[in-house]
Amino acid sequence: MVVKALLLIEQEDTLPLAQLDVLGAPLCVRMADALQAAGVSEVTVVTAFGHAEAPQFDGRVKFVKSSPETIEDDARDAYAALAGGADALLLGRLNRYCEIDWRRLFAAHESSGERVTRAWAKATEPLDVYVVDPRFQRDVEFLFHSRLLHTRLETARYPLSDEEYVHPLRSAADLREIAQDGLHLRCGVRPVGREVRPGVWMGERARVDAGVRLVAPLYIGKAARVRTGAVITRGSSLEHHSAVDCGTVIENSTVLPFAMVGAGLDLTQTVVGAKKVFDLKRRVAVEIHDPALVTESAHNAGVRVLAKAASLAAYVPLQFWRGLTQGGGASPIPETSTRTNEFAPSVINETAPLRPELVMERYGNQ
Amino acid sequence: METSRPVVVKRMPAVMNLKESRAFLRDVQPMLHADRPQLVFDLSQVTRLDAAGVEVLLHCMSEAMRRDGDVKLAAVSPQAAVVLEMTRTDRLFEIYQTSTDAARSYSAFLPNTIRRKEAQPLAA
Repeated sequence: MVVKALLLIEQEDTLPLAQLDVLGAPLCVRMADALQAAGVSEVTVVTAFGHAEAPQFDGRVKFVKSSPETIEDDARDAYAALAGGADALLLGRLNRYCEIDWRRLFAAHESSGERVTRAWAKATEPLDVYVVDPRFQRDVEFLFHSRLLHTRLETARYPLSDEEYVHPLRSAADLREIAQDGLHLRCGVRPVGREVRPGVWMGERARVDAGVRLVAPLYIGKAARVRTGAVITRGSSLEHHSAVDCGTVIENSTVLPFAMVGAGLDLTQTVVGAKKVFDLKRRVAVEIHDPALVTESAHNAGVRVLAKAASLAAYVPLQFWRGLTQGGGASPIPETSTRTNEFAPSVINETAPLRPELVMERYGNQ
Repeated sequence: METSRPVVVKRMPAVMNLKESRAFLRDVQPMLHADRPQLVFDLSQVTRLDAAGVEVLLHCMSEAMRRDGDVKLAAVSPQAAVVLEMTRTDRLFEIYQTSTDAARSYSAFLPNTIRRKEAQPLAA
């Protein structure tokens, strides 16, 4: 039986959840890989987030960039291109991440003899995953018209077994939960990288400075950077090209690709990315405008290198300018600040008993 | 008597970036220079809190503490709460649901008040 697949990524959240990395690979890529491993000859993914960064499929999957307004038409076009020569077509909406035994689903559809077979997570929870017979055009048309929510006629049911895994993709919190499930081996989402010690996975070119505390399980993605004094703990995942600055604590959080977290911060149960902090406890997304807290590096490698070179070249003139204009003060509110520098050299005198921090300064960390 | 001094409630602007923070600090500076200042900052309208805004809060707190006073926060918006937690400054302030609660708290924790409150349920 020749089976092809069409997956739709539609607007559920402001983030393209299915296109974002979870433990090193986007969920849509993981699903497409699983389908191909189950014998699906051709996979097309149509996304409403055409403006977002396209996932890396390495040419194995056709990826169609669309928009919320045109996704229905684009999906029909993609279906028309796929339908030729296929005995069955899998249609799925990526509003859930599914780890289904695809071979068993296709076999169940074939043996049922029905026009459409729908997967069900529980007796009352239908999934937007269908296997359709392309000969029955009206059923397929009805499915597209209802945005893969309803079928024209009663369908055959494929109930998921306990070994199969389904998780909704409605908000950033779901990404965190899937990452936690993956790190705790509750689903098939395996970290992409090397297990450097039990429960600690690192992608290629990931850099962790000395003095960083890593508490398993956790994942540090490709080319990510963790600076000294940081703590990464409780199932956190830092995706590719992310950065965590000195002394920051990342606990049960996800740092999305290219996100840069400032120094000395404390992130607990959050998803950070796209210059936003998604607080999962309060269920609120906060836009951060201050680059000292959260910012994003350029997605283009050349631009990143140029930006680094520019900041390096500007460092000395900037310090000189700051020295001239602010009199050496590092405070962002110098105009009205009346704070005195308690660590000024005049405070240190040989006869007075030294404070512990001053002893550390004079004799080093002994 | 502890309760005789006034409690000043100040509403923070919606945006607390560098410029607004400076203006806000200029506004509250006279209050901070009073003897044992008791301040409540209402953060209900704050939608954007930058590092400069956090710096101002810390500066106000240290100034108030230097004069044996205190700064308390009230009605913290979710956006401000996220930034305060992220910068580890939330644990440095007493935070109340409303400005009224925060203002009352300057006198509510006197030992006599606590004894009176404890006695009520027993009497009931």
